[in-house]
Amino acid sequence: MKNIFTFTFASLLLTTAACAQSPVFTSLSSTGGTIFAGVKLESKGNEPETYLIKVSSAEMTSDKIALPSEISHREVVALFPAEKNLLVVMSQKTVEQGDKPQFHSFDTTKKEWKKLAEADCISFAKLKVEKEAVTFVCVETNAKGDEVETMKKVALKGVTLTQTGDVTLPLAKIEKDAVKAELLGDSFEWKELKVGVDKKEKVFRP
Amino acid sequence: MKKFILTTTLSVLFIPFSQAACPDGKTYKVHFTFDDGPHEVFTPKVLDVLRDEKVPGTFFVLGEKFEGGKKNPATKSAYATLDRIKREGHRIGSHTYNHIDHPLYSAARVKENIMKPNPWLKDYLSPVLRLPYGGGSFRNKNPAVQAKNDMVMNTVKKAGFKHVGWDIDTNDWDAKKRPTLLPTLLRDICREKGGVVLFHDIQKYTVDHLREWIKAVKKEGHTFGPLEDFVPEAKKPLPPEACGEDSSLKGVKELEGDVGRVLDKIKK
Repeated sequence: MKNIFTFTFASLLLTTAACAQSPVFTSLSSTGGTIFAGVKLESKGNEPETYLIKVSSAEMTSDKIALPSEISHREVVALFPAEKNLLVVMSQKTVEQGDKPQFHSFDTTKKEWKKLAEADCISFAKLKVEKEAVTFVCVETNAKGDEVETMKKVALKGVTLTQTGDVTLPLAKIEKDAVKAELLGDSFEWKELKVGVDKKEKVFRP
Repeated sequence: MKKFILTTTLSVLFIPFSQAACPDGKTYKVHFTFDDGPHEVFTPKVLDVLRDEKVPGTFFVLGEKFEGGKKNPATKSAYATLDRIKREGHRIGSHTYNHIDHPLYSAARVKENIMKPNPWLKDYLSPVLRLPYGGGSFRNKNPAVQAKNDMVMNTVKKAGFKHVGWDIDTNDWDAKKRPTLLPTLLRDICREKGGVVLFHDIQKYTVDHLREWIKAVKKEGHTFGPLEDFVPEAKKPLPPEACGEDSSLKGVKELEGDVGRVLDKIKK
């Protein structure tokens, strides 16, 4: 009987907690040793605040990385590791109607940001990632009123991406070498990031 | 006693599953809104669904689709759709002239973008406006950004409009979020306790799925209400200041005159 009461009250508490606005993960990337995730904090009436979380899988520690002010209210849609300790961040305004995704590079050593490019594609789920470019499989409506997929390539000058291939968003689970990273919770509002290395495991919250 | 406690406990446990949609045991009222239209093909299909399902809606239309007003033959189809929206009892709001993010522009451009379509739409508009991207309607911690947001919102207010945002954004335009749209919508109706829901009537995906979504919302026990249930100002008439009947709107009238002159030249 005691267990039923405990379960009942726990359910009610969980329902209440679910209504609170707390930061959520929006994207994930892993180089193996280092995991990056995009974070969004939305509260009613305010512009969303966005930033990155960097997790070291060796030490199981996390750091917050602020985005430059021009993109600190844009959702981090995808993250691409690059050579020379660079991370490429793709961000998009996702309220009401999306705008053109922007690419910025972040030098993880010098802590410097640089705008790389903008893509002429608002709606997409599939990307073709090459060493120096990202191609969007762009979902658009043509003049006849049919939805069609159009390929739109964006060159990332001066940056060499290290993980190429076809990507379908959202990317919520990555296994690379001995490191596993997984976003847990509802899609696009993932509340936890589980990182595992061999038998060691830790859950991070934004 | 034991039987009473067990019965009570089981009732509490099963209320959310057997009697109502939401974990709090309640159902809520929603209002569906459609931005960026009218679309020649899709908006009439949205209207068919709303008519069949007896659901009231609000259409936040873009002024550029009515460029030059009824004098411009190219706007005939857009006005025909607008006539149908009005005839079938839905509300029409302004989505400004075109889809810019207002805080990024000068005060003059913001004013022009908000005022320009109103003379063309004055017979249709309720005094409600939704800024593209909600741009300007959100609070920002950066004082410089907030000052721009205040400028935009003051312009909306001076033009006689009530800004209408949304409680639930379906992200119906976003291919990667579409697979989870319906469960997310149902979750958000409970989380927000109902409210104004945002769609786009220029999206084929929305047109193709709207009936299914409305039926799913109804199945959960939620109801649909008119915009005035959420925004009482919606039932007021459009005030004169929105129609350019104010000295501060001289520039807008001049612009309208320019368009008229250009159209006359084309005709000749």
